[in-house]
Order: sequence, then structure tokens, then C-alpha cells
Amino acid sequence: MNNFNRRQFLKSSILGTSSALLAMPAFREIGRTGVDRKVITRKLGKTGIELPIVSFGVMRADNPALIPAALELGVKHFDTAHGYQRGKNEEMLGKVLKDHRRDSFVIATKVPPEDGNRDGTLGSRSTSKAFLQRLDTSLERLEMDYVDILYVHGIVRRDAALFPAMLEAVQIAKKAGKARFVGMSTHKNEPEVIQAAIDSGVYDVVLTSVNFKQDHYPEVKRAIANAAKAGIGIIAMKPMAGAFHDREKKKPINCKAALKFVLQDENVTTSIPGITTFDQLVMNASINQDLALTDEERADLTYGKSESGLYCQACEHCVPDCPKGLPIPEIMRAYMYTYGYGQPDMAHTLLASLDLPEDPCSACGRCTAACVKGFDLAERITDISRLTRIPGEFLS
Amino acid sequence: MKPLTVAAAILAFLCCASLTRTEGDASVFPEIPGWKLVEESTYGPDNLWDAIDGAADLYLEYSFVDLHIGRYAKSENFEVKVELYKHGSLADAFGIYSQERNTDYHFIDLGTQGYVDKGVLNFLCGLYYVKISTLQSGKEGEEALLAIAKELEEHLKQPKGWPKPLRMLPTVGKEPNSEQYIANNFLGYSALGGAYTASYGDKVLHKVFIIPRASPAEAKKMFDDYAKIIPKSAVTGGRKGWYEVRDPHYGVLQILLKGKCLAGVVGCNDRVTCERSLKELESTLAGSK
Repeated sequence: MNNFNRRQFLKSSILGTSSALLAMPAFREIGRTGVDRKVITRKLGKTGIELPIVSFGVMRADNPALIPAALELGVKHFDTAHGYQRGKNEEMLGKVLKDHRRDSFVIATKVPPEDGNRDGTLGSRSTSKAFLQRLDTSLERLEMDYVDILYVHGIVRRDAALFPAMLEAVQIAKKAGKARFVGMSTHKNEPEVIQAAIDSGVYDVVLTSVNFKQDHYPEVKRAIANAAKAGIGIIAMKPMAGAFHDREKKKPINCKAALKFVLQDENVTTSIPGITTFDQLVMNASINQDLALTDEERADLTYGKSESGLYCQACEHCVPDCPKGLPIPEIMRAYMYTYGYGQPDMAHTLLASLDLPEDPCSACGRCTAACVKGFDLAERITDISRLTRIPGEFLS
Repeated sequence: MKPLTVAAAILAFLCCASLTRTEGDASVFPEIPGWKLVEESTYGPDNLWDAIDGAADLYLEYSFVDLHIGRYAKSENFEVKVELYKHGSLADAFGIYSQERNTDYHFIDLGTQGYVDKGVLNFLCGLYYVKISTLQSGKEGEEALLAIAKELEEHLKQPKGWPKPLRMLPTVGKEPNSEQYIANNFLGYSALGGAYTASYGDKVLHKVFIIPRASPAEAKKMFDDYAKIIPKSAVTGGRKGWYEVRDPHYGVLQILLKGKCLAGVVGCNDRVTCERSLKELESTLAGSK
């Protein structure tokens, strides 16, 4: 501290959020555009909640200053989960938001069923009581009496979406005033889960993964339209499809374009991109005022869609057409581990767990299973299944 | 991409297998007396979401390699779930462990460190962040968690010990178990990454951080990149590597550029405490290589 005097030190220690934000070049930019343009908002189904189209996926507890900065920029909705960072994420939000008027923000948390199986089914210990206990823990961490949206976390099948104990739990939570509205989050088999939400007559909101890289995007979009028609609010997650085209993170996705793409669909009320920097915040918040895709952004999206490469999205369209009932998505994953990641040991472990027949495609003359991405399935299956004949220790 | 054939790939791997094979990789899950491994699954960076939903994003920031999930069963109604998260380096494994660790947990001596909570035992073990859980309540459940954890620790054969840069953090006033490693976007700035940090103080906590870089020039570049984000007038000082920065979001940051490190104090409004931390930092960094 040898270079600074005490008065200067104390004076500069006092935070003044608004003026401080506007002192940053990036914030000045959005502050200026904000004068000219209105924030785009949409209604969240029948809930009546009006939200700016860009919201905030809270990813980390170690940078709480992002939350007031987001509020300052007009972001209103914050999404967290019971399980994120063993509750530290919810605790951080609670600490930061307790100084703000409760009706100045919309908070959602996601609570998982107690007993979820690998295939997405729910076990008998997924009771209403256990779920509600977890919700109480979340509310305690958030230092709130209620959340605006309570999701059952990570639903990937119709039977799980309609699991009686979960339907009972969310209705109890709503009746008790612990959740204003209830929903489900889903990142797989989205159309099926969204349809189940409609059929349930219980859920108000669905948080679904949706992005420009999804091969089944048209189906997701249709399901979203049906949900919107039924008055269910749709919030989009994973809009940036992982932010990179490749695992090595050398081919970045144009995140702004990807986010705009998802929000072109007016049935999507808002999106919750994960935000961990002020730069991302400023970029995302700017979309709240300007949703139009530029020519360059359109071109980036077109390029991005063609970058399918080795990634199998597990749409499972191919599976019913395989006479041997092979777990093709898993085999494609093993293929990607080997040729994409250079990790044949991982591929070997995965293939071993699948208990495949030797040379799985040998009895078929012509492959009847078709891949929506155009992968030559028979060639890839034949190629990668040879790995199973190599002792695992040689591949480590 | 024109794929190599598997035959060529296998040949290449056979050639270098002896160089890369480690004992810990031979089999991920050990046999445990009295328990049967009834289910095993593996996840990579592309599908970690399938296992842990949105929590995956944070793991991916820490050079996540793979996740092996195993279920050990003792009886039909008594199962223990084991999750082995492998990361790319000791720092990364510590980083993700520290992101989920609270200072008030009941810590136990297991691996580098572990803790137990209701139905849960988590521990840091070299490159692995290990999570073990059961729905079985009571003493029987707790004993099972510990027994399986010890078997895993022995089986994984990982080095113990904390990442070395943590030793450079000041010791006076440090809140126990508050150390963290933030791989990216420290303080919400993309210019800052690879930060080791800990909390200090009694009621109002402040943070001290150290960011080791490969060279003094890189440390300086990182500081310059950060300084570019904020108004020029907000940065003062500079003599002997000491800077004061009036950060728009965090108030005053005291920054020290010393050798290969960028270090500093965030959120400290008490001059004496701040000065003490900085001097200790300066002294430690002067002695480090």
C-alpha cells in the first residue's frame, strides 16, 4: 500500500453500481443503445409473467457481481438449480437478491427427483415428500418464501413427466405458496416431454433445450408451438449448443447468432444462456433490444449447421430400423471418442458395456437404418466394433 | 475429416501403450468385498449433460475428461452410487472440488480431502473428484460410504496433496477451507483465468488471489488485458509492481505484479488488513520461482 494515501483508498472503496457500470466501455455502449430502443418482452404462457427475451442462466457462485450488473441492464429472470455447486449457486443468488425488491426479479430453481435411473425412469424412492424436502432446502438457501418457477429437473421421458409423485409434489408446492408456477426441464426427447407437459394439465412452464444445431429442431419447434397453444410457457436452454463446434474449442459458435436464432420463434418466451462474464452479459443483454439477425450471423448459422462431423445427437431415429436392435447412438459415441477425441480407451469401455455381438453388421446385406445426419452407420459400426477385440489395457 | 481406420489407430496405440498406461486406469471400479457392481456407465464431455444436466457446464470449464458412474449393491434395497469425475490436471480436479466445497462441512482425512454430508461422501483424489451417495439412512449408510471410499482411494492410486500455488496465499486471517481455483473468467472477466483464491477476515470477508503465469511478460500482459476493460483513470500506481484499480464492480482492487505472478486483494475495505495481506503476498512471491 506504499503508493496510496488513506483518503484515496477509502473514497475509492465505495461502490456505486450504476455509475460504475456505465464507466465500462461495453456498458456505455449498451447504455447508449438503451436510450433509443425498447426492451423486447414476451408473456410466459398463461402465467402472465412478462419477461425480457434474454434471461440469465446462473452458472457459478464465485462471481456474484454479475447479478446486480444484469439487473442494471434490464435482465429480470435468473435460473438456478438445487444441485448446482451443492447449493452454493442458490445461496449466492439469495445473498445478492435479498437487497432487491422481490417483485423486481423472477427466480426459477430446478429440483431433481430423489431416485432417477440412468434410462430416465424414476424409481420408487422418488417420492413427493423427498422432492418437497429438497424444495425447502432450496428456499432456505435462496432466503426466499417462494420461487416464481419450480421445475422438476432433468425429465427425458413421458412416464417420468407424468410420474404421479412428481405431479403431486409440484401441486402441493404451488398450493402451499412455495412456487407460483411449476414446470419441468428437459434436454433430451424434448418433443415427447413437452407433449407430456401439455397432457398433464399440471405444468405451467417447460424449460427445454433448443438450438440451431439440433437435427430434430423442426420437431422441437412444433412441440413448442403446441405447448404455446395450450398456454404453457416455454423457456429455452442450451441455446448456444455448447458455444463451440469442436471439443478442442478451436471453432467457436457465433453465440449471439445462435441465441437470436432460438428467439426468432415467438413461442419461446425467453432464453437462459449461461453467463460467466460481463462481456457475455453485455452481448446477451443487447439482444433484448435488437433481435434481428445480420447477414453475417445468418451465414455463421448456416456454416454451423454443416459442422455435424462426428457428433451424434442421440435422436434415436435410426434405432427402430436396425433389425438387430443395436444401440446405434452409443456406438456412434464410441466412434467419436476414437476418431474425434483420440480416446479409444473410453470407446472401448463404452463398447464393452454394450455387450455387442462380434461384427454386428455382418449378417445384414444392406443397412436399413438411416441417419438423419447422413452418417454411414454400417461402415462406422463395423469399423469401431473391431475395438472390442483389443484388450482394454492396451488402449489406456 | 478423413478417418483413419481403426486398424491403423490400434497399431498406433499399441506402439505407445506402454508410455501412457497407468495402473489407476486398468479398471475404474474395484471389486469390493460384500458388494456387487450392478451398473456402470461412462460419460464424456459431449454427453455429460445426460448425467448431471446443467451442472455439466461448470465441470467442462475444468478440463473434464470423463465420468464413470457405478452402482454397488449390497441387497435389493441397499445401493451406493459412485461417481468418478476425472479432470485434466490436479489443479482442475481441485478447482471443481472447491467450487462445491463449503467451509463448514464435516471434513475427513481421505484422499487429499473429503467431507461427509447427509447420505453423501465426496473427496478429492488426485485427478479425480469422487462422489459417493446412498439413499440408505443412518449409521449403516454412513459406514458403507466410508468403506467404499477407502477402497476407491486405494484403487485409484492417485497422488495426495494440494496444488502448489495455494501455498503462496497469505496464511494470516485465512478462512480454513475457503481456497478455490477458478479456471476461467475470474471475477467475471474473460481476461483473468487460472486464479487461486481464498477468503480472509472475520465478518466481512475479502479475497486474496494469485494467478501464476508462465513468465513475467505473460503476467504483465494479463494485467494489461484486464486494465483495458476498465477506464484508464481507474488504474493508478505501478511503482514496484503495486497498482490500485477502481474496478466498476468490485470497488478497489489492490494488484501486485511480481515475477511470474499477478496477485491481489479484492473487496477489502480495511487498510491495515489489506496492507498486511499484500506484504505477505509480496514476500511469498519474492521467494517463489
